[in-house]
Amino acid sequence: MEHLFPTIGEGTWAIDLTAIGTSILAALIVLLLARLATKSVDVRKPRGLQNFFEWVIDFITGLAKDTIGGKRAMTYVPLAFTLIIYLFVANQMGLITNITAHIHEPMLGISQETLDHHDGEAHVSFFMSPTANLSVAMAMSIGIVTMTHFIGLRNPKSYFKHYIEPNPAFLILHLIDEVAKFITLGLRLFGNIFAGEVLIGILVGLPLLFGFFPTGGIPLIVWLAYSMFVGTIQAFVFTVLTLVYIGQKLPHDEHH
Amino acid sequence: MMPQLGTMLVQLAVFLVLFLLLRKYAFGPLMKVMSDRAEYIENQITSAEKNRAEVERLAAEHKAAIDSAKKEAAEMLENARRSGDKQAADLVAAAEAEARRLREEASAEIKREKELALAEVREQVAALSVLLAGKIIHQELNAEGHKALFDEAVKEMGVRV
Repeated sequence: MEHLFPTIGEGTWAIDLTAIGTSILAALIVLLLARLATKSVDVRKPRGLQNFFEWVIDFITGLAKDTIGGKRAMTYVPLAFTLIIYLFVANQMGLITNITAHIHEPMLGISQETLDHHDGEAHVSFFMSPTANLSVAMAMSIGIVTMTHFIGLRNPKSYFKHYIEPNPAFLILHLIDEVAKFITLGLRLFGNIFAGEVLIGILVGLPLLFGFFPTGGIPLIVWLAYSMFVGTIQAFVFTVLTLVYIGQKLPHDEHH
Repeated sequence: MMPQLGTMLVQLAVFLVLFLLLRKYAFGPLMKVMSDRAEYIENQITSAEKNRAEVERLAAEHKAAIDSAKKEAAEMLENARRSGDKQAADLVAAAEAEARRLREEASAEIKREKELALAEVREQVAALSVLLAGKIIHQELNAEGHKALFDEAVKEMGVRV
């Protein structure tokens, strides 16, 4: 049975309330963690979350220096820092809980029309990872890749020269590469997180064996652990690729 | 499932707001703390190095002071020993001189006493001789008589001397 999402608006301009709600929640969790981490910053005795956040910044700084290089790497550390923490939280949210309700009456975002279309009963999803939503994942990837182009256009000469390197014949490959970036970056994130949640849903939905034994129990625990791993890795991969794409668009004077 | 532009735009707005807030309220303070710490550690290392150099200098100074004090002490000890030796030698020499003087005095005294005694003996002998002669003259005696007289004189001399 297909899950419905409460939406406002019609067609292309529709807004998925579940995705946006959980996305805002993820952002709030990140802000709360950041608030806790910076509540009592201490130079000499960093404690708890401050340690964790400092470690993340250190880690991201290392990544940025490896992929972008030099002093300008520091410019993009705040962005990568926000990305990895936000995506990490967002990816784990669906693992903590998924809320699906069986709706028989129209509600906010679910019209009578939609309900009728589904024979008067709808499974409506209220809580999930925002990144398990295609629009959210694609918004992140399109936003990021577009931004890398704007960063590249600050040095138009080297930006356009990059397309015909090492040979004008490579132009078509570069164009494919650039177009593919918009799609792959988002789909990779969406696919991994969405698949994780789908399988969780299936395992939870398995019928009880002999009427009492939860058949899905042990595989569910294993899959939850694996999904946490996948969610962490995907947050990391998205961040690294963002830094790599930025690095590709910057004039690489140091490398030549 | 088709991407919804509305959701995408709202999502980008959410992320942008999160980014700006995090950069201002979390990233800034944390970066400041981290650079402060780096600076603090750098300062600590610098001052530790400086202190160590200072300590080494002081240790060298102290060592030099101790060395010179030891040398001085050894010199003083040597001086004391030398003057002690000299004093002892002086004392012995003085004692020897005194002893010699005493001995000489004693022997001079003995000599003088002896001279005195001899002089007295001579005087006695003279007196006795005079007495003897007187007695011989007063008493006409035979050889036997002379002999008895002479023996008496000799006996008396032995008692007196």
